[in-house]
Amino acid sequence: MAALHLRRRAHRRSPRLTRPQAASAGVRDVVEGADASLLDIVDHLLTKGVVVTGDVVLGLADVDLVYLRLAALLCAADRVLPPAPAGTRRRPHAGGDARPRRTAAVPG
Amino acid sequence: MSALYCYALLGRRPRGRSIRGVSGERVQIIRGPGFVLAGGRLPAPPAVTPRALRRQDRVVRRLAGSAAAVLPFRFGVLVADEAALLARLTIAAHAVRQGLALVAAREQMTLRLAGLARAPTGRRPRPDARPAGPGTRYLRARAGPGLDAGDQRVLAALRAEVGPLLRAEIVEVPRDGGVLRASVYHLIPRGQAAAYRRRVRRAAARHPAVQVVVSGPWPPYAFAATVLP
Repeated sequence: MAALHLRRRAHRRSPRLTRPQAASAGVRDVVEGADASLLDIVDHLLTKGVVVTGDVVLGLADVDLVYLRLAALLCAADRVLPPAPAGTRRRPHAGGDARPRRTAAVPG
Repeated sequence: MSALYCYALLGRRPRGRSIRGVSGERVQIIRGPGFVLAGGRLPAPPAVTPRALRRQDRVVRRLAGSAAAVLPFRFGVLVADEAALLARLTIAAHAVRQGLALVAAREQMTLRLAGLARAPTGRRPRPDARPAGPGTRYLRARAGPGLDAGDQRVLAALRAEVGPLLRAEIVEVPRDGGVLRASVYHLIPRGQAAAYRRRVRRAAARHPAVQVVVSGPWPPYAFAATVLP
């Protein structure tokens, strides 16, 4: 899975802000800044939408005759990585496909 | 023949001029039972870049502008065999038609509820008399975290304010418990985004502890995700 860099520049934060104020300003920077619409697009396009992934096997009398493969190639990391234990950061790892593929079986 | 890169399912053939896809290819319309599929011939899916994502969003918006009902596909859906895809969609044609009916003449608004993490209340959860079994643990893990009482009050206030425009809602609570408390997707009638924003601003002003950010109108991406069984 490729990394997607969204932020073009670091946002400056006023040194006069108290810690909670600074954190709140950080939240505003992220959710209201110039990158917000791109974040929405990433959310909508990578984790939402119709998905038709699956393997279809057409069989007759327990003999597989035709094997069709439909491919949905991408999804967001939080759809395939297991949830992190409380208090820890989630870290991507290789081969993290924790979800089974949907399989549509067509009776033969 | 190249594979088919899928953009959206539509209620009927889009009106107007032909539409170009993410790579400049012509978007083709393929008929199914009670729906049409809009896709382009591509040898491979586009690379995941901000530019490609924006382009695909533009393509879907154009399709939405020329058809009343649009169910967008997720980015990156490329099928080598469109006959197999149509067979799969035909099996689920009833669900597709229901999904198209839900989103017809409607658009999506997205709300992000954000704020600082709340301090724990210090109240411990009541221990169960018996430990949860594997089924209960599985279902709890699958359900994920819920909104806390404060966020539920904010969401209830938002719902009450936008109620006259609200046709459907999906609420997602992130598992990580960071500054993003919830994403809320609302389906509203097309052309009502400005009125919706005014109503959200009114409700949000009464709850300054939670940052409510509204974006849209969008094609109904979040509602399309629920269409196929």
